[in-house]
Amino acid sequence: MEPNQYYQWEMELDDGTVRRQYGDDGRECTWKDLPLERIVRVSFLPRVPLLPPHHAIIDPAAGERFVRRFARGKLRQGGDGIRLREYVNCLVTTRYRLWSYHDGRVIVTRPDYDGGGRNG
Amino acid sequence: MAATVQIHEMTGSASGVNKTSTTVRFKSADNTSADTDHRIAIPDSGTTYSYTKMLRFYFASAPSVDIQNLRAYTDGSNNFGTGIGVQYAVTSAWTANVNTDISGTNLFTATSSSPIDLDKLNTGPHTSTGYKGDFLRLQMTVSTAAASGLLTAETLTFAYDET
Repeated sequence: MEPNQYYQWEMELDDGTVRRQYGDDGRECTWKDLPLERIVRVSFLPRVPLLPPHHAIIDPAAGERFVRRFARGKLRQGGDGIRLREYVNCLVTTRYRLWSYHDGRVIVTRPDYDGGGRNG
Repeated sequence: MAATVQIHEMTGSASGVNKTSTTVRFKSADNTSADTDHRIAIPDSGTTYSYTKMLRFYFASAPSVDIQNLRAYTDGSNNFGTGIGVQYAVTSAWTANVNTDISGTNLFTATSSSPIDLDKLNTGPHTSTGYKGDFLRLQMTVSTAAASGLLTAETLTFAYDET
């Protein structure tokens, strides 16, 4: 299994509707057609054992909004070739970014931070 | 599923060798083999230039929505040793490999905070399968100050953002 398959996202709307990245049939879903202002929870759920889940609660009543979700892939050369070595799911809200690494680590940054430096 | 993204060493405008299971080696010959044949000679004077390497992103399977923000960077430190460098240029199209000076930019000035933009010319968002973004053209330079021997590999990181 490649690092880009270790986690999947799940999003919940204010009416309790839940959408998960991979459906029961294994097909990938999109969040692009969801009403962004009604997303109140975003989770990154492990698809392999021993990794922790990560949950973020978004509070629209306090002016917080979901902006987007994306993933950052990084390929590096090792002894076995140029392969995907790191895959980071990122939740962007109006208040922060939550970076969920494929190995279970999480970093929270300001909403306009886009990598660079040691964590680039 | 999330997209399957590879780096290919290009041999033509739309053909290349998948580098998922092998490395990229600078040589004095124009081929993609990662062997120790065709080593680069240390010159008596001036600079010796390797044959160029052309690298490009390849999507073996498509993203569910799109991929953009293609880029490449080093750790900012050239550990090849005195007298040895790597220069780069970015092109929108295939250019035949040469062993003459491409007058490029020092590769090790490209870092995670100042990466090489690889979809500046062939712009994203990128969808579907196939070759995507710009060509990264690399060339090793060897001067009289270089020491002989096999070099330890340097790491180049390729990054992308997938939606």
